[in-house]
Amino acid sequence: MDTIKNYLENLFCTVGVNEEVLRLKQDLYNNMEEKYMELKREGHSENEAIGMVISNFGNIDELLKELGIEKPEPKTGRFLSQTEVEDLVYNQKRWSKFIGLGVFLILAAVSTLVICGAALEGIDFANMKSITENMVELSSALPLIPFFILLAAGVGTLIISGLMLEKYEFIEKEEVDISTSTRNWVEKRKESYQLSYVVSIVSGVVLCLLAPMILIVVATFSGSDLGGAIGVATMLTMIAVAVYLFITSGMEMETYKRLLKVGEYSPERKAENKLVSIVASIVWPVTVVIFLAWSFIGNDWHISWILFPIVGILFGAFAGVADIVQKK
Amino acid sequence: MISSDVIRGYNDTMILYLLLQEPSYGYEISKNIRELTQDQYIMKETTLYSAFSRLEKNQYIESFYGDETNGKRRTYYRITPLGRDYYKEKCEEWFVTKEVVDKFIEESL
Repeated sequence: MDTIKNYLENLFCTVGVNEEVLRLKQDLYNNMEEKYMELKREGHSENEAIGMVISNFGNIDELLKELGIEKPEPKTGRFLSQTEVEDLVYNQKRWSKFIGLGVFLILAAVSTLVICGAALEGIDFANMKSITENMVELSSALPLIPFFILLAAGVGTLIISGLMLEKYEFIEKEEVDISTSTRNWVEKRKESYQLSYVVSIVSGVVLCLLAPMILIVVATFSGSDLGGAIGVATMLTMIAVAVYLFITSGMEMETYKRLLKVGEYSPERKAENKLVSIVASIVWPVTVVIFLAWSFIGNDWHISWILFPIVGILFGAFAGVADIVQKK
Repeated sequence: MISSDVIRGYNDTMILYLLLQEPSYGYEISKNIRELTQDQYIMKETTLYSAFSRLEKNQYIESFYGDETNGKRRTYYRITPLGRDYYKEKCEEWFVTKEVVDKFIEESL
């Protein structure tokens, strides 16, 4: 019976997945299974029965045309063997952890700077301007040492991870084809990973929500600048952990989805995402430039950050509209 | 074995005939066709399901879910009033077709 299931899967592997297709596949499978059972009851051997069921199947193109399902060019993409897919999945998983670590180190670097700075100079941590002023003083050169070490470590980790993952970048750009058995393997992994994925994302979101709250609580109750700095460090650490979770779980799930070409990575969505990506690559750098200009010129770091959430929401709205328009 | 080209116009009619008797599902219909024609016509799966799709789109039949064997839902079909009318038309069409073609068939060969 697996032979029959694989036969069907192969016929449908290049067809998009939707409710109609799924129902059809199920009906066809039920049909073939019943026929197989009856042939076995009549005394045919397993191979004979399977052969008869398959040979009486007919021409799939006729059926697909009737259903109005477009059958795209089969196997135009790069074919990946089981070993190659396993290699891809394990390495993406491994190096995404390093990326998360790299980000963590960078945020840790900033935390160290803030803590050491506050501890040594007793500066008002909320006023960034005095940090830059104080940096010219020798005694505040000390916190720069751990800062630079951690920063270097973080950047180094990011660079190494980036290099190691470079050879897998093709999966983002090219069409990729995998065999049915590989597909099954990937699907099983994705299913079993689903729970961890949800847990990671939820934990990350919770951490991001709690982080600024912790900062406010600590800053309010500590009174001292050191306490405030520790508050900032805690907040940054929590955010770093959240980012680590987002990166690792996000990358793993994304790899599975890309391989299976579902959801975001189905051919239809890919076209739509191109437009959104192009707009994103313009909007976000511009936003950063405006943010930096406003902050440096107006020295309004404590206000200007609000630019990011605003742009984030507007951009999200744009992406949503693009999605709706594209569907029409 | 009848060639599918010849019988193409009447696949729908065969299915509708069976559904006139009682609602049924894919495999049962295909089996009945085989038995009724005494193995002279065995409808391929793709032909059968293309017909289901076509008939349903034209609203000659409607689908519903039947009993669950091993937790899988089975798609059943039943004929609609529109389908009954279409069936009658096809029967009449066949009578005319038969009369016409018979005129060109040599009985004594």
